[in-house]
Amino acid sequence: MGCMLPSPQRACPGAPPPSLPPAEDLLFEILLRLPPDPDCLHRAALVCRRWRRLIHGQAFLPRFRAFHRTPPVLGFYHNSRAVGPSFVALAAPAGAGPSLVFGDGDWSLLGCRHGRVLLRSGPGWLQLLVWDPVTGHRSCVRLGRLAGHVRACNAAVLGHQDTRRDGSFRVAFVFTGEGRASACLYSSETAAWGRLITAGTARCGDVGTKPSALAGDALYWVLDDGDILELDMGKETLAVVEPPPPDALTLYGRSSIQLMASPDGALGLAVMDVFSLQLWAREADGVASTSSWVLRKSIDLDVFVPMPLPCAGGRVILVPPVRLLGVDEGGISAFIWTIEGIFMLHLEDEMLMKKVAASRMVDFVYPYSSFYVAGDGGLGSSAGTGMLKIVLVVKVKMMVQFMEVDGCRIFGLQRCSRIGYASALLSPMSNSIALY
Amino acid sequence: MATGSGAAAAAADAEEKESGSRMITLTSNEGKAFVVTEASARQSATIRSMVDDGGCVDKGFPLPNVDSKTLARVIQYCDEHGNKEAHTVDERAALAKFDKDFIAELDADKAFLYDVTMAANYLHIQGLFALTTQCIADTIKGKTPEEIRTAFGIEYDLTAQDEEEIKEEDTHA
Repeated sequence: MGCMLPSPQRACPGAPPPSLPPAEDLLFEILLRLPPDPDCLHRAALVCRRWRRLIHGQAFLPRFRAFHRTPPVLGFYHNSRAVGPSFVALAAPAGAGPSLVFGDGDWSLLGCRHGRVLLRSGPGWLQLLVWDPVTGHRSCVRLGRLAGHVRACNAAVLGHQDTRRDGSFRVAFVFTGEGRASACLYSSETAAWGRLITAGTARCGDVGTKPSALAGDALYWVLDDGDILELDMGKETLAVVEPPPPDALTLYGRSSIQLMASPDGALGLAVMDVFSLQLWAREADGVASTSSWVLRKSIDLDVFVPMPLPCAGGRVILVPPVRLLGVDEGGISAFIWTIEGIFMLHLEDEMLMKKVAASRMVDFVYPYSSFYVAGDGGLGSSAGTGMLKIVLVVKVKMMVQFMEVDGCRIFGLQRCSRIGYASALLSPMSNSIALY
Repeated sequence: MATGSGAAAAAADAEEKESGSRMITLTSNEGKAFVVTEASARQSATIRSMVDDGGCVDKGFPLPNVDSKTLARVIQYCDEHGNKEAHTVDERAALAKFDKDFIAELDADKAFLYDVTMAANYLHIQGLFALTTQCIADTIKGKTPEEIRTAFGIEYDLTAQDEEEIKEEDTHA
C-alpha cells in the first residue's frame, strides 16, 4: 500500500478526533474484525458511503465469514423423553437474547448445522421442520409416504454454502430397508425435492439414528452393520464407503461410533474406549484415490476413573464409564457424559474441559453453533438488523408458498402412511416426496 | 555490522548468520538509523523477503514511509516477538501480556495507533497488524453510527437515495 500520510491531528483535549487513514484495504481489514453480529455490521454500514459500499460489496461477506470461520458452540439440544426437545446453554445469556428453547414437544431432534435445527414430526416420518433459533423462523418440509420396505430414516440440514445466500438451506433425507439405501435432497431455493438417489451397492445395513457428519461436499451416516453411507451432494450419488477399521469396530462396538468433521475437512470419527476418547480420520492414500482410517489422537480421560474404595467388603461397585454424547459440527469439541455430569471437551487442547450440566440420562446430544448470538445478547436488541430482516422476508414468503401449495395434504398423508415401494419423486411444484 | 577481515571474523559472521543474530539497520524517513537484530527485523515480511533475496543487509533498509517515532514503536514490538522465545506456556503468556500493554498504550493516542497500523501494513508485520486493526474494530463495536462518525472524524455523506434504501431495508422487518 501507499505512503504514510502525516496524521492531521494529534490527540489533545477538545481537538477533533484523528481521522482513519484513507487506505481502503486497511478499512476493509478493520471491518472484517468487527464481531460476527449482524447488528454491529448493520450499524457500521450506516456510517458513511464508503463504509456502506465496502460492507455491501461482494467481497466483504465471504471474507467476513472466512475470517470468523467457526461459529461458537452455544449449547446443545437433546431429546428428553419427558418434555420433548430441550436446550442446555453453555453460558447463561447476558441480556435478552433469542430463546433457543424449542417450545413444542411433538417434535424430535435430528441434528443441527449451520445455525439451524432439524426436527421431525413424531411419531413417524411425516414432515421435517427446519428451525433457526436465532431468527425464530420455522420452515416445514413435508415428506411423502414412505414405502413399506423402509425400516430406518435419518435426515440432515445444511446451509447453502455454495451460493452463500442467507436464509436458504438444504435438507438431505436418507432411508434404508431390505438392504437398499436411497436419499433425496431438498432445496429451500426451489422449495422442492430433487431426484431420488439410490445406492448402487448390493446390500447395505439400515441407517442409524445418530446425526450425520459433513465433510467436503458429502454427508455421512453410520449404518447398523458398521458401514458408512456417503451422500455426495455435488455428484448426487449414494454409496457405502470404507468402514472404520475392523479392530476399532470390535473393540468399541458399532453403536458407539460418532462420525464427525475433522478440523482439516476430512471425515473423522470419535469413539470412547473406556476412559479414553479416540479420534480417527479417513485419509486419502495419495494417487490411488482410496482412503484408509488413521488413528489421529487418543485423549486420556483417566480423571474420571473412580478412586478405589477403601472398604474391603468384597463388594464390587459398578461405575458407569464415560460416554461420548456428541461432537459439534466443526469437530472442535465433544460432549461427554460422566457420573459427575456432562462435560464439554475441547478436542484440540485435549484437556480443556468445562462442566456444562448435571448428569442426565441422555443418549446423545446435538451441539448447536451459531454466529448470531453474541455473548452480550446482541441479537435480542437486533430484532431488525438488515441481514436478519432479509432472511425473515425470504423465509416468510416460502412459508406462505408451502401453505398454499400443500397446506391441505398433510391429513391425507397421515391417513395412508403405509404404501407401496420407493421409486419416484413428484412434481417440482411440490415440496414433498412421494414414494410408491 | 561484523565486516571485519580474517578467518575468525568470517567464522563469527557465518555463525551469526546461522543463528539469525546479524544486525540490520532500518532508517526512518527522517534519516534516523535504528539497529535491530535480524530476528527482530524478520518479523516484517517485507524486510524478510529483501534479506532472503540476498539484499543489501550491510547497507541497511531505508523506510521512506515510516517516521522515527512510529518506527521506534514498531521495533519495540518486533524486538519482543523476534528476540523472545514462545515455546512454553509461560513464555506465551508473557508475550500476550506484552501485547495487551502495548496496545493499551497505543489506544490512548489514536493518531499514533493509525500510524503504527499503517506501518505494520506497509512492513507486513502480521501480528502487529492484527493487533492494531482488532483494536480499532473494538472501538467501532457497540457504537451507534453517529458515535462511530464522531470517534473517527467521519462526515455524514449518505445521499437521499442511500437513505431511501436504508428505509426500505428497515421496513422489511
